[in-house]
Amino acid sequence: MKNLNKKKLIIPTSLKPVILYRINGVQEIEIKVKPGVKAEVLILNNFQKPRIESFLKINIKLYQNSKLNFVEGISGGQVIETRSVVKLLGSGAECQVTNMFQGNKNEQHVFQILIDHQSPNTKANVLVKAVYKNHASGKFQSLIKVGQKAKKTNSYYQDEVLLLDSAKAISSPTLEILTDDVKASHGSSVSRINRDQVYYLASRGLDFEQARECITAGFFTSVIARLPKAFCQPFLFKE
Amino acid sequence: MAKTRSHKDLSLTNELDYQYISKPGISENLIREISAYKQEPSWMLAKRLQAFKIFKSKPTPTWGANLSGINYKKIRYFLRPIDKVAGSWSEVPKKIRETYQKIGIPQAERKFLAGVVAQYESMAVYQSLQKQLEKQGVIFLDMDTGFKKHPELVKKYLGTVVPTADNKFSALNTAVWSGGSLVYIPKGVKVDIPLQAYFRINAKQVGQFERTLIIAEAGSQAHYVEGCTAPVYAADSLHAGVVEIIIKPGARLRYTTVQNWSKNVYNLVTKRAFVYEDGIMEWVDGNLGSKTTMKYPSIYLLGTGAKGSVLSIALAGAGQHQDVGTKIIHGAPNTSSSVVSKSISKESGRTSYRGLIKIPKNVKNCTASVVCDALLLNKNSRTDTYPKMEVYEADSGVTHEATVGQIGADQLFYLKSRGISENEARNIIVQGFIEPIVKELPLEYAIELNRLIKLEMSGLVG
Repeated sequence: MKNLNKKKLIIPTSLKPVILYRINGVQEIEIKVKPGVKAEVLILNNFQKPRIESFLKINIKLYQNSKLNFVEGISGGQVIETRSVVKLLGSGAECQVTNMFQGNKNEQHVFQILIDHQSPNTKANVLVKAVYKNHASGKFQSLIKVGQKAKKTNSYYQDEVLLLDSAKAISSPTLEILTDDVKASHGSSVSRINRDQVYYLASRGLDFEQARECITAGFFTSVIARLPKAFCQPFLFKE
Repeated sequence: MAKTRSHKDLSLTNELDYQYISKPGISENLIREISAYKQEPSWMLAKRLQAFKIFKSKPTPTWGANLSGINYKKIRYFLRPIDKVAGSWSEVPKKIRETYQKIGIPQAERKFLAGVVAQYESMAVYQSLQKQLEKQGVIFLDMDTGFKKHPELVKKYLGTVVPTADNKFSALNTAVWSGGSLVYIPKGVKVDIPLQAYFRINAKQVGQFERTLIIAEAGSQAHYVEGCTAPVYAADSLHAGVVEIIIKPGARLRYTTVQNWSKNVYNLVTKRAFVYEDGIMEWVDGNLGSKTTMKYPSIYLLGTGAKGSVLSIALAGAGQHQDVGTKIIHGAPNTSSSVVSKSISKESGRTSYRGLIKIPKNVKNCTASVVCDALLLNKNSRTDTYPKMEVYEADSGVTHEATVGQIGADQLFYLKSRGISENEARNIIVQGFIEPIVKELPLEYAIELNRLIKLEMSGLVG
């Protein structure tokens, strides 16, 4: 905890997207979105060195009628942990969280999110997409909590993990719903590459490696569709 | 040891003279007494005593439902209502027959059932086996008789699927077990008629510790049905059963349970099946009663091509917590599993789904899917979903889906526009919600389940 990096971000008015970078070590970010504000936050890593260990804690508080589009893109690093808490405190608050992971070699990713609906008419939508190669692994844990006062809540969590080679993943999407008149659901899938898709591409003359690359790139399109235009640049594939 | 003791202090709905009633509380002496009473061989007594030590050493689990209300000292661990296991229906005591008639079994039983092992209190009181089954070599006995007649079978398989030290309640069950069923289906035999066991608890603070062992030899097929009902009492009761199932290559077994314990029973059951090459195991599970249920029917797919499926439905009313789920371990390549879990919470009821799907390293080409649907009926109802998917092999596919919702306003509106009252409309929607599971039940159980849910739903104003 020596190089603890704390950052407070209070978003008072609707601004241009905010981009934050992850560092090697422990980091804490607090984001408060004031009533009625529409905010966009992007967290990226530009890990140049190998063997980066990064632990990030994010506390997000959303007040009345505020909106947040939160995006995190992670690739590389040795151990990358993200623990986020999203509190929907004011009625009408909305949050869209998008996370994208790419792991190679022995990389380990841990992702934890708590969506806490405390007020009525709140909305949350979480999408997590990950591709792991070689011996990489990912652990995804989520909890959607709907309190007794949070009527008319609409909450959705989805994680999709694509495993290649000897990669592995653990997914545990959980729900705790304490009242009726809500919509809450989650979906989770951990799977290999679709063989029919590989077959189709192979029939068009692509070899297995090429087909795999195509499918992996296509896998992320649903993430890119959720990004504001300003965010798209960093996600373009360099390979 | 007095053989007949009266117990007027127990406010039973039907008064019975029990031949043997143990004192409340558990001790080494009690276990020796049970074992001596049942004239068991010494290895079983040793097993029981060892299990008791494990039971004492393990803490009550705190990760799930609240179990702090269990008072082990107040529970009676052994009871038997009649001396001998009856051979025919007319030999079953009148009072017990009356209670069964209230639940409505006899007619159904006579027409459809192969044999009934009805567990009234802690021991089987009635059992009949069709001659046809006997000819096929099928063993369908209550566990106590089964143990006496086929000790080698019990010795070979008991505790191989659910080890004594698996959890606190499996240890307790091993220490004080009585009753349950022993089912053995020989190689290649197909049993067309469902094998039914019907049991209930009917005395204050009676623990039911039934032990069921089912062995399906290669290529065999059967359907085992278990149902539980119990009248209402004041004090808390405990039911800690253990069910062990072994499915040999190519065999197929379905195990159906409709559980309707009275609303003060702690229902903590360990159910597990080992499935070998190309075998199929299906759990169909209905949880309606009890104060707290913790039940996670598990399937270990241990042979290539084995399949497992779990269909479950839970209904939690005021003060009830149904903590149910499933555990599926894919221990061999090319195995597949599917789970469909539906739950309904009303008033202050709480339902939880807790599940694990595990695909270990190097177990290739396995697929698993889980679907959980929850329906909330009142604003203080609660539902939780705690699934976990552990995938250590990339060559596999695991999916999970869960939804939580309430009765749709538009659905209600549509039905009401057709002249159906609100209550009736709600009933129809709930019945439709659980239909995928009800249609898998044997006819008389489906009728009973529908009747029970209707009963639970009546008087409910949204």
